[in-house]
Amino acid sequence: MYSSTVTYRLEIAWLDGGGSQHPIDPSTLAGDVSSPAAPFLTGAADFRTVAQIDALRAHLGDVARAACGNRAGRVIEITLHERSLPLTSPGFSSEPEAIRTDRVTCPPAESPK
Amino acid sequence: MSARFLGYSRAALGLVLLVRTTPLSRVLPWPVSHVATPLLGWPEHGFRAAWGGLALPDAVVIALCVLRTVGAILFTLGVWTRAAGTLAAVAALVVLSQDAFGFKFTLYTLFVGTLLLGVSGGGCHLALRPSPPGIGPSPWLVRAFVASVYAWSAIAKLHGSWLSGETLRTLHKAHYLTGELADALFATLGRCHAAAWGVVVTELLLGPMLLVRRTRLVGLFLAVGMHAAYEWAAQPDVFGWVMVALLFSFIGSCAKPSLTTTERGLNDLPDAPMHRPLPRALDRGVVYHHSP
Repeated sequence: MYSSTVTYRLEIAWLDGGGSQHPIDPSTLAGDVSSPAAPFLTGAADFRTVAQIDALRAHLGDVARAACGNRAGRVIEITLHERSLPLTSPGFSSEPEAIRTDRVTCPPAESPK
Repeated sequence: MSARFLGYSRAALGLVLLVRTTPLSRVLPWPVSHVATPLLGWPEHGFRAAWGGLALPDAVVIALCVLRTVGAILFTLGVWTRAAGTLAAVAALVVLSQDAFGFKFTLYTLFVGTLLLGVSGGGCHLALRPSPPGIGPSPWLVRAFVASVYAWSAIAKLHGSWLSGETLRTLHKAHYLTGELADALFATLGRCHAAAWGVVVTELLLGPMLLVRRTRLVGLFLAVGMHAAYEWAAQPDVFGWVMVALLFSFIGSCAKPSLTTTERGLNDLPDAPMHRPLPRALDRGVVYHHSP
């Protein structure tokens, strides 16, 4: 049974050579991850309340790697914003209580043989 | 008696295992239980989120998915139950470890329950190929596991947010808890508060009630009633079905069955032949061989 709730949102971006950030909508990555991981990304650009995000906290880097796609050699940055209060709470504020960030470098494109 | 119900428990849990880890899951009425891939845990899109970063090659994960299914079929039918249950459970747990996003306590309980029923003599009855008695059957390993599930479930809820009823209210508003029962139970914060305490107290009581023989029957009814309420209000995957299958292990006495005439030994019987005058043949030193 569910024993707690957590409110979170995700920010994902790829960085160009000059360090500028180019946002990636987490929902667009839902098709690049496993079926159990997809619901954590769908609609995650905005705060949402769910029962738990233990796997997401522990595997931000793996989600970032899924964003590599055709961005070979690019850097992907992923940030998890968390709040303990649910969206429906009168005391809810969009200011996050906890932030985790991970950054991965996508592998270079394989050279054609 | 309890050995027979361990057999029922094994067959029921094996069926849940088989359905929940294969495309058969799509017959279940809850989309959350549906397996979208050829088998549960089948690698997708090259995505990796393995526990501890210990990712296995796709081919190994696929092989483990197939082995788990073969083990689940044999376990359900009661063929080489100990080996099949162990194989199915170990393969299932390794596959589960390959995608942290797929971890659910329901699945963990299902897989560990399979392992424990396999090694506890769940294959001695209701089996196509009954296991030899060996060290079992003994239901106590499975019973201890069930009691621990309720205890840990209650312990996880011993925090302010749950006990105030806020967690239940939030889950209801987020549509994790739906239906008429949920709407009635969680309509106000006061009701959520009462329901939260009711759940924790029930889960804390269930373990001891099930383990003590005198309160076991009441505990069984309470457990089944609680799972029925969970199914109605929360549809928590196949958790209720897994627990009801494991609860079969609490039915029946654990007392050793009374020994048969042969096991008890003829001397213990009041009318045992040894108490009678020896046959004439023995008097003369003739040895009799019993035909099987």
